[in-house]
Amino acid sequence: MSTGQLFITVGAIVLLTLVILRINNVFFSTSSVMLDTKFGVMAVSLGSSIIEEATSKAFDSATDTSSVSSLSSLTDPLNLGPESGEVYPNFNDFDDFNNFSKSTEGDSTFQSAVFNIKCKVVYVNPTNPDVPSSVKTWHKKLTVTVTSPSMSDTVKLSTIFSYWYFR
Amino acid sequence: MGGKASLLVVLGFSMIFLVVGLNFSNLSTRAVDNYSSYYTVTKAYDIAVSGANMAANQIFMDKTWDAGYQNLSFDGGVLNVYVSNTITGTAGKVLICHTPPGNPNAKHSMWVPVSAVPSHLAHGDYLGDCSGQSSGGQTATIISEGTYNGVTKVVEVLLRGSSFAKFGNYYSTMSAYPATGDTFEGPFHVNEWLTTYGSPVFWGKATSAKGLKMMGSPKDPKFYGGYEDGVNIPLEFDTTNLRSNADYIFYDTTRTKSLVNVRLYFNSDGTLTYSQKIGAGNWSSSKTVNLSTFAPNGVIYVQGGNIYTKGTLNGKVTIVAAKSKITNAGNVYFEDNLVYNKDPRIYPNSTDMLGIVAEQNIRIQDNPNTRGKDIYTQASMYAQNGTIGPEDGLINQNFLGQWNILGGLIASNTRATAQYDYKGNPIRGLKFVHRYDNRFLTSVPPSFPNTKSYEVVSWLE
Repeated sequence: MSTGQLFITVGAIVLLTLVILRINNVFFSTSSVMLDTKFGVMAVSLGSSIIEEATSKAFDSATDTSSVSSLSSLTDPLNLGPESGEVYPNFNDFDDFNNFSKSTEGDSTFQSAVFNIKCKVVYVNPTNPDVPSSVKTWHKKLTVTVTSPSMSDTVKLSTIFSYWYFR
Repeated sequence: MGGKASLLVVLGFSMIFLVVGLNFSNLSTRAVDNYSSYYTVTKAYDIAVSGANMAANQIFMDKTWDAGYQNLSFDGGVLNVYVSNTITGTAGKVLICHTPPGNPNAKHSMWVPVSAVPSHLAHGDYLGDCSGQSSGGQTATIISEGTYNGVTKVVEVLLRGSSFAKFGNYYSTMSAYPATGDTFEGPFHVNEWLTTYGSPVFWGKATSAKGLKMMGSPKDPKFYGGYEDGVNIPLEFDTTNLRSNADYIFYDTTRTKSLVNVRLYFNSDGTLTYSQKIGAGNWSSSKTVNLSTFAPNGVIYVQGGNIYTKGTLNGKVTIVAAKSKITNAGNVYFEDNLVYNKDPRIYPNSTDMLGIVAEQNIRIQDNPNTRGKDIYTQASMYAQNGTIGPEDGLINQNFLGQWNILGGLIASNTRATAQYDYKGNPIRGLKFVHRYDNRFLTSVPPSFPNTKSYEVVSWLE
């Protein structure tokens, strides 16, 4: 092997080493992104599930078994949350989800990551739904926040649930 | 030679690794795009649903509401809600074709207030209806558009006036409770507590205003169509509104505030034989007319009187007995069977349909045609301030027959149709055999009373 060939061979080995390192880096970063997005999609789905579950309930404890025609019948803004003795999953109205938190730790269906869910329910005015109302209205906003130690993003979803029925 | 070969091998491997690396980079990009898209669409959808909810509440509180919401900031996105509401007609409103941004397939004809027209034209809508789309009728349409990060999701809700005829059974209150052995078809509502004994069966959706009380043993009512409480539907309807829709009005021509009794006998050939009696006078001679020309809009109205009816209906009609402050008025009496020329259970395309509206009671008359016989009635029956059932003589007769009903019963209260032994078995009178006419879910007798609210025809997301 001549000196020139030796240099070419060494150069080739160096090049191969660099390519392998680069590919290794790509593999790791792709794996990380794939996991992050997978957890993100799961977090959005979890948040949507909570929203679907909450909106399947009565608007208020006062409307669970009867109809109301006055705002005064509704739960006080400071008392939003489960009534005495009500424990998830046996909530019966939308605002029972106020301050509800849940972790998937120990849930056999979530073996890839642990998700932490936190809920907040407030009254809102339809003309300014981003701002909590200090008085009772016919509209309640549920904000679901989903986080995970395995996920860099925090997923936040909100929905407004209003009192109505048409038969 | 060996150096060149090793170089070629290394270059070959490098090329392969670079292609694989590029594919992995694309995979990362697609995964992030997928997550971002899913998140964005979910947010936009939640915003749109929120808008639909808020608008539904506004219409629930005020049937005439059509203000909508423009450019509301919500949850990092923008909410627009447009409402087309023609419950009070279209006066002062303009017909436009509205197209949601970026969603031309969801265009919709809408009646909007004049003040809202400029903003609609500004975002690409145009005057007039969208081609091939109906825009009339007493309906309300909610179009809620949630936009987040450039993505717009649309929720479209169609509401219409809700007819009492859709109910298989409706009672303001129930003095006789559903019990084991009772089967109810069609939508069921009691505007009070729903009290059940044992295991009655409800095939349609059951609703109540105050809740469910389960009595007896087992406490196991079967709600195969679902059950919901907290639904308040008052039995309120101004029968005078029907008067304006009436084709023919029987009234006291003597102007002496006398009771007007009217016989309406339906004939299978599509004719109607009628006569009337005012106060203590005699019955007028019978006249037979073609039903479709006598009542082209399908409403026959008796003001301050009672209706005595029987026969075989060939056509579509609603008969109304209004009290009009006359004593003993506002009742409908069945002198015999009252059935359709074509039974819809045998002829699914049957157009025969009868609505009976009484301000007071609806009764099977105790007479030789009804005593000791099974009775057949096919109609949606509405007794605003009273009950529906046989006269006392038929309940106490020494005979146990059947009252076979095809249609619906809407009344202020229930009425017993038979007498029972101590075990709860009927021993005399008429056993109640009720079948719901499924056509009433989508079609109702002419001008039949509506509830005070809307019903959801469709909720498209």
